[in-house]
Amino acid sequence: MRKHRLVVLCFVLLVGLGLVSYAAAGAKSKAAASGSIAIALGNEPTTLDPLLQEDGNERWVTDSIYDTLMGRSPDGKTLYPKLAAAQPKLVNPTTWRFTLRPGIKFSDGEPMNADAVVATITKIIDPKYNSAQIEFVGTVKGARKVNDLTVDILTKGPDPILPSRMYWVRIIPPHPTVDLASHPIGTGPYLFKEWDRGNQIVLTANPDYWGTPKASIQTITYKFVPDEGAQLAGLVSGQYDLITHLLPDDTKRAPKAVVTNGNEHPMLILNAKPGKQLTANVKVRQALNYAVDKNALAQKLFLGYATPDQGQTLSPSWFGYNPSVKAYPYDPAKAKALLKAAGAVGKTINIDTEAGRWLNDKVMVEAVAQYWRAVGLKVNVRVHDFNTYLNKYLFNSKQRPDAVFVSTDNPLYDADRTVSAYYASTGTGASNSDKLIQKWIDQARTTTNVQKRLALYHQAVKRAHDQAIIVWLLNTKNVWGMSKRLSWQPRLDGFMFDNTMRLTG
Amino acid sequence: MGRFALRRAAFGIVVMFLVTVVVFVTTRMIGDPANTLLPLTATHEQRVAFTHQLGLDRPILTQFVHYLGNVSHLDFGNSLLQSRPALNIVLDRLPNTFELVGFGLAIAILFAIPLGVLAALKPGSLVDKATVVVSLSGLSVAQVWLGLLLILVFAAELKVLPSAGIGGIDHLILPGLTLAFPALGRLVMLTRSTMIDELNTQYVQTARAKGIPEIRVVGLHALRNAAIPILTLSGWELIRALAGFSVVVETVFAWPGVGYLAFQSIQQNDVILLQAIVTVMGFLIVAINVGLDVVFKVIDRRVELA
Repeated sequence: MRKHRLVVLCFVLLVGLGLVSYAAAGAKSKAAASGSIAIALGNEPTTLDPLLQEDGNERWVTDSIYDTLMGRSPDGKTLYPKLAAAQPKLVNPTTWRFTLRPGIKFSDGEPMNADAVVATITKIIDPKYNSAQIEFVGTVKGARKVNDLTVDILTKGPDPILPSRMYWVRIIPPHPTVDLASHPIGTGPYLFKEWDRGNQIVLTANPDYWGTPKASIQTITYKFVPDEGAQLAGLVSGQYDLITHLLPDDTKRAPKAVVTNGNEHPMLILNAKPGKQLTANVKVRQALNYAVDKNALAQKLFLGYATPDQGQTLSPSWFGYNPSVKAYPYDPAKAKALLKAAGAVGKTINIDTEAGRWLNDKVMVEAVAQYWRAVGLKVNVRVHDFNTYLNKYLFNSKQRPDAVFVSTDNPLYDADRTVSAYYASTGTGASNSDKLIQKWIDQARTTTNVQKRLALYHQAVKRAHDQAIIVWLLNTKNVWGMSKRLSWQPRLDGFMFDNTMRLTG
Repeated sequence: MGRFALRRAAFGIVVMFLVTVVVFVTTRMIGDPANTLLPLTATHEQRVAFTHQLGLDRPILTQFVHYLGNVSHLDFGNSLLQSRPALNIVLDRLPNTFELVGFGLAIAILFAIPLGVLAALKPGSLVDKATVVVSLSGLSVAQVWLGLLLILVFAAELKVLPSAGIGGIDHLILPGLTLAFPALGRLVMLTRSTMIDELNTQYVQTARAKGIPEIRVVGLHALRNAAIPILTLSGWELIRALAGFSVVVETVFAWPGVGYLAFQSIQQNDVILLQAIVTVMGFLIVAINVGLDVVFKVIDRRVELA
């Protein structure tokens, strides 16, 4: 009998424990966001209007307030519908049809529907609005409401990467009653709380967020700290939980440094046009590639926070990346032989660059110059202020420099933007007159057949590599400094979605 | 007296006009805002359209006449990036700069005068030598470096003061000290040398011979006569801090004043905002100069119009 009682008691206890832990688990899954963190940005956002400027600091704040029609996986590889209910359909060569998720509301109560998408597109392409983001939507002609939850986006010509562009454009409410530049209203996981100009921006978790994951941290405060040393000091002293500018040299001093592959590609564009310059000869251009030890640059200058580019200005995650094209190996003997064959030994080449806009830019150029000198060339490095550099060198369509340094990234994850600017002979920074590369890039821009587009880019990338129109250097990584208590996996594109952050302990 | 002030003010207006011209021309020379506002991969056509929309492709003279017309009723245009009136942005930030510069200069003056006087009392003594060393290091040190050093020691290591930003008095201490230190150095040196001269004059000897207590001799007679050079230098320090040093210190400490704003607007090629900043600061400096001239005339009637 007593034994029996004991069994019953145990059973009751077990059930009780189970119930308690079930209740606790339930409570946990429903737990509201809690805690707060501070993030140090390099500069104060110029505006909080998500469509107006091309300002990374604004983006770092508003990406958690607004949503886009399309989302992208953190590794950059897949584009998935976000505010859209499904992948968009091409109804005719210049019309993409998006259906929208029902039941989503902006934080001011307005429904997120076709009117919101039309208002967004109309605003961003309005010439009077003069958006600095126009380059990302330059192909878009307008938007048309089909019904409440269906909208067509019209393009000037066939635009195969329109869905990618819709990962860039944040959707705004159609009839805001406040100025979005100072008081953003979105559908995102965070709500705008206050902007104390010059001091801080505060966001709070949106308890009614329609998507996942929901915000786990209740309050996010953005501080503006331009000096890298002051950012690091604030991180070390516990004032900030996340800093955006951690230098490779400082990674050991930060409580925690998190690294992701980046989308930034520093390179030297060579003047491959016909002419008297040394670089008119393909042998010389190849020699300049062989002469540079890309691995040493990655290890010594970037302390391993970079990898050599594979003979193309594209990241492996971008559409158009050609996996069969490889980096020119470091081979000074071959470089010397090629220069000798071209009769270029002892001749002079100029490198034009700016200094300070990109991490390690000047030292990297100096190192390349040294590698070129080692194989028998005379090299002048000319450093200009940024505006002179742009107007007289990088954007100069009449007289291209022998070699001009530039670094580029691409949040659209598609070769088009990068190769149009630096590979195609009509591009703003291109230094060649190769008709084939131009033709393939033009065709790829308007071909909606995915396989055909990919093949065209592969061809163009291969030919550019063989013609050595560029000296490819590195693909640099993003380094973030974090406090020990913050848990967050940064994304490849460097975008910041605060609802993916958690506090531990 | 009234005529003196009026003539100084008229002179100030001429200077202000010249400042406006120079500011307008130089901001148009620093480059096309489309270069920095648009991504580098933007097409040539997109750049041209962007600049046109801002009205920055019109002939410079047309732009200038338009600008003068607007400025005459205090319209400096909208900031290119913030899309709101540039003057409002500057006026929003000005109190923060005043707070920092006021605090920094107050520290400098409060410490410099007693230190300088003490050093002058016994030239060559240990106190004198120590004072000279401190003020020389104040004169020599780069403010960027000093600021970062203070951040490292008091924020990162000791964790007693915040490293950057604005808030309570604790936020003011490190940037205030960084701003004060060089000014302190110069003021100490000047107070010291002026006081040494004054203390050797005949009227001081006479005062001493009459048996006036030393504290009255130094504090009342000598210091009062040394006041004009010290005041002049303090005025200059105020101008230097407003016009230049605040840019460095505010940027290092992320202090949201006009100096940091100037740094940002240069970085971003926001020529309209930069124009407003330099014009407002120019106006302040001219006003301070005119004000100081008048004050000197009040203190010492012998001051002539330069």
